[in-house]
This record gives sequence, C-alpha cells and structure tokens, in this order.
Amino acid sequence: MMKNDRREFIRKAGMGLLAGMGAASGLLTGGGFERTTSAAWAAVPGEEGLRWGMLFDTRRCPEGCTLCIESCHHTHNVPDIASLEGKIEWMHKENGRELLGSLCASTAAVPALCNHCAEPSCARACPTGSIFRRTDGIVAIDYHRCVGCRSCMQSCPYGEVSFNWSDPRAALKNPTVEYPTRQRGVVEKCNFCSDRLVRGKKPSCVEACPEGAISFGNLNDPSSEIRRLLESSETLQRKPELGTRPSVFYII
Amino acid sequence: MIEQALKGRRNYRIWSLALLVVAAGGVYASALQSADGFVHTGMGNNAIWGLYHAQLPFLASIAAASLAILVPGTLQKHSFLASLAPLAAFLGATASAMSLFFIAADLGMQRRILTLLLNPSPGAPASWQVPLLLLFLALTLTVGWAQVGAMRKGVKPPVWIRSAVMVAIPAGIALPVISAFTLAVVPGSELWTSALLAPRLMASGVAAGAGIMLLMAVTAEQLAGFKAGEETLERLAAVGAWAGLVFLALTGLDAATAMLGNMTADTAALALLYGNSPFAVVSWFALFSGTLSTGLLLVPSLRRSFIAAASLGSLLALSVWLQSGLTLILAGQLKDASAAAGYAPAVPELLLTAGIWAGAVLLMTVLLKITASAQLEREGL
Ligand code: SF4
Ligand code: SF4
Ligand code: SF4
Repeated sequence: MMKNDRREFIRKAGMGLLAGMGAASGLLTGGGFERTTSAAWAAVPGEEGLRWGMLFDTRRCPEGCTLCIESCHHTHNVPDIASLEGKIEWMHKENGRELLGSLCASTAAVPALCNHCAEPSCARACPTGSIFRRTDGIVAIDYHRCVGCRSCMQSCPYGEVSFNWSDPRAALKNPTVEYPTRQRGVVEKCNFCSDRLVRGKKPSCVEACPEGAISFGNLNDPSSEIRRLLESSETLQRKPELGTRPSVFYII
Repeated sequence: MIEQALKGRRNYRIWSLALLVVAAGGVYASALQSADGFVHTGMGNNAIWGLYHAQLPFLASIAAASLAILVPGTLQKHSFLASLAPLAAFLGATASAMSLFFIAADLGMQRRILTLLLNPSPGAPASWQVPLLLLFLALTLTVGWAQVGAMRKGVKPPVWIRSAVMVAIPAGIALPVISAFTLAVVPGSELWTSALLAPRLMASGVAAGAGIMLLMAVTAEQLAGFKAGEETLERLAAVGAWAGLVFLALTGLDAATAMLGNMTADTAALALLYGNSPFAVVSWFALFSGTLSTGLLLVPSLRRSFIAAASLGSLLALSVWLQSGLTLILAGQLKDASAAAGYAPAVPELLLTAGIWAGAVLLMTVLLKITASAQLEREGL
C-alpha cells in the first residue's frame, strides 16, 4: 500500500516535470498531461525518510498580500535593502507566468523561495561545502564556513541565493534575538525554517498566512497533508526541466 | 642569481618602477576592499562575478599552455623549443600565481581563504582549483629555476626536472578543464555548459601563450640580448597560428551547432554575447582581431619578422583574453538583456586588477632578465 501510494505521489509530482517539458515542446496543452505516462520520473527510485516540502495554493493567495514575506524576513533578520543590486530576499512574490512558465495561466504575483532541491545545483558549485543538502531535504548554509565566492548564487537557476554585498546589520531596524544576524561577505537564503522546526514549530511564512495558502510537510510520508494535496491537485514546480527536483510546489 | 634582477640599465629601472607604482595602486585598492567589502566594485545582484573572476578561465588556459613549450623543451632531446623552456615554465608559474591572487580578490570572506584548502568539497569542481594551482605553481617555478641555474653554470639541467614536468602535465591540463567545469555546473547558462568549452580554453591558451612568449622573447632579444634563435621564434609563431585556428574553429562549431539545431537557449546566449548587450562591441572586436592575427601569423614571411610576429602574437593574446576571459564570464552570466546594463567595473576594482597584472609583469620581467643574463654568462665562458 505504502509503495503504491508513493508511486502515485511520484506520478503526481512528476506532472510538474512533464508539464514543464510539455510546455517547452509546445505539444501538451491543458488537459493533455493527465494522459501522459510518467516513465521518466518513475524511473527515479522512491526515497525513504524525511524530505520537507512546501505547497502554495495560489488561488488563496490575494494580490498585494506580503504577510508571509514580512514574517519570514523579520524572523530571520533579513536586511531591508532597497537597491536592486544589493537586495537580499529569502522570500518574494513574482509574476506567476515568469516564475512557473507558460503553463501558469495567471500572471498574478505568487510567492517564491528556495526550492530546497533534491538535486541542488548550488551545492554542486560550492567549493567549501558551505551550502549543502541535509538528510531531511533542507538545503542549508553554514554562514561560518562560507568564503563568499558566490558560486552558489551563480548556480541557482532560480536566483534564490542572496549575497551580503554590504553590512546587513546596518540595514536591520528591529532585529530578532532568536536568530543570528549575518555579516558582510557571506550568502544567505531561506532555510525552510530549520531553526523553528527543531523547536517543533511550523515555518514562519506558513504560520503568518491568514488564508492557509501554504502547506508544509514531509513529501515522503503518504499520509501527510502536503501529499494529500499533491495527489488531489494538479501542481507545478519551477523549471522542473533542469533536473533540480524542487521541493516547492504550486497549485494555480 | 637574484642579483641579476637588480642590476640593470636605466630603461629597465624605469619600467620596473612604473610597474611597482601600478602594483602599489592594487595594494591600496585591496586594502580599501578589505575594509569595506565589495561596495567599491561594480558587482551586484545583476553581475554576480566581475573583472576578478573574468581573469580565471584565461589564466588557467595560459598556465596549461605553458606545457606546450615546456614538455617538448624539457623531455625531448634536441628540441627546437629547449631555449624557450625556462620562459615557458616561468609563464606557467606567473599565470598560476595570478589566478590565486584573483581568486583571493574575489572572495567576500578573504580571511577564510584557507577554508578552500581545509574544507574542500570534492564533488564541486571549484574545490580543485586552488590545490591544483598551488601544485602547478610550485612545479613550474622549481623547474624554471633549476633550468636557469643549470644554464648559468653551463651544465645540463638536473634529471629530476623530467619527473617534475611529468607531474606538471596532468595538473596543468586539469586547470582549464576544471575551470570549464566550474562554469558547467551552472544550469541554464548556455555559453558555459558546452562540452567544447574545455578544449576551446586549451586551444585559446596555446594561441595566447605562444603570443605572449613571442612578445617576451622578442623583447628580451632586443633589450637584454637573450637569444631564442630565429627558427625557434618562427615555429613558436606557427604554434600560435595553428592553435588560434583551432580555437576559432571550435568557437564556430559551437555557434553553428546552436544555430543549425535552432537551440533557442543557446542562440539567445549568443545573441547576448554578439548582439543586444553592451559586450557585443568587445565580442566582435575580439573575434575580428583573433581572426586577423591568426590569419596573418599563417603567412611565413610575417612570422619571420620578429617585430611583426611579436605584435601579431600580442594581438592574438589580447583577443583570447577578451574571449576566454572577459566576455565569457561577463556575458555568460547574464540572464537576459535587461541585466546587461548592470555591470561597469569601479575604479578600485580596476586598480586592483591592474595591480595584479603589473605585479605579474614585474615578476616576468625579473625572471626574463635572470634568464637572459644566465644565457649571456654562459656564452661569456
Ligand atoms: S532553489 Fe536554488 S538555492 Fe535553493 S536548493 Fe535549489 S538550487 Fe539551491
Ligand atoms: S558563496 Fe559561500 S556557500 Fe556559496 S558557493 Fe561560495 S563558499 Fe559556498
Ligand atoms: S520557510 Fe521559513 S525561511 Fe523559508 S520563506 Fe518560509 S519563513 Fe522564510
């Protein structure tokens, strides 16, 4: 049973991939991808254990709302830098079409963050292993080891790594004591709230969303809420064709 | 041996002093950067890497190219390149040292530089860069030094040189390959993910390396009485021309495949390189000057004129520096045309870059002078 569930889940999860490829080839249209087989995806063996994932139901995400972003940035002492060249973001909202490709019918802004990829290209680029994938699927950064070479930033195809071009502490108005601040010269990004998970709390953005639009849970557990949603809905991932296997999904 | 570097004519002293001043500017800019970070550079979210990183693929290819002269010059008996072998070794050493300086300049956390050696992540190509550069630097410097020492004493170079060169071969070849691989891990960057990038870097390195060595040998000949021999220089120019041809062919093949296959992502990257980005002018100039210098170096009569060969060689080296370094990195990292306006190097960044180059030219001048005077001394015996 468990095995079947996983298959089913993998099949559903694979739709994002197929949808992405379909969109790129221009062959598949809306209803087409229910009928496609997911052989390419199913060839990847199922995984045991924990893999944290997130799902946004963008139908519930109102235009103009930025509560999740504000909560995240406050919780994690993300500096508020206005200039585009120096900006630091763990979470942001972008045009859905640009984020998810032509399969996304809407151009309304949808939230984006690090995808905690199962095959993270950022980690493959880091010469010091300072950005790495943990056994629970979270892609984490060791701020004390990072040498600031920005290879990870260059390699993340989603632009989800930010670099501290200037001193971030100078741009913090109201720092949170529970989470460390960073220094100039290192990179940072969403940590999937690993700091809160160890304390048994849900991610800050999930808690802050008044619409309940964000689900968070173990992608490898067939009974988790996120799995139920993935199995009952059509979902998209960002650039699945690159093979990074993102752990963040979107219902449009 | 060192005292040879300090003695000299007036021109030599003025030249060295000028280089020292530029290098001092680099030291000043470096201090500024240590204090305030990258705020004094043009880098930012739209230009993640800048002038510093843009030197790395070029320098890696030059380091590897020194093997093209060093290997036959030391391992083959009666090689026509033997007289150039010490120069090649010193060129390899200088290029590796420069790479290390540029890597250091590009770190946001310079005081953690040892982390690159202490905490490598072997799955990441970038981890191999610093250890390999250090190894190659040590090997080429030792080999060059031992050769000049032997030349000065008028004896055969020690036998262990051959083993050192053997070890240097895989290390040197790995440098441009690793350099290409550090770029290949970036998904969706079509200028960087081509399998032809590594061979292209190698060929371009041999072309530029030959060009630089031509300039060095001819300068040393005119000013310090160094003698490489007419035939040797002509053959060196031929090496540069053929390598230039291979480089241009590989560049053309890459572009032709992208266009014939209508690979939209690849052609979009090419459009950024040659079309709608501020780098287009530089790219076209580099392509034109590379084709011109390669073509003219294929003419035997031009190869035989020292001045023509040295000037064409320098032009070829300039073209390669622009193509395998500057535009490869700066245009290669662009996501779209709107990001292209993002980068213009700032003054301290230019000073630091020029400073590292000046330091390297100074080092090469000194090594060249030592080599030339060692040769003169031997002849005087
Ligand atoms: S989204 Fe980017 S930063 Fe996050 S894991 Fe994937 S490649 Fe790394
Ligand atoms: S910036 Fe830091 S985390 Fe990113 S690749 Fe370099 S050392 Fe690794
Ligand atoms: S999971 Fe945590 S760190 Fe990531 S965006 Fe949400 S609040 Fe921020």
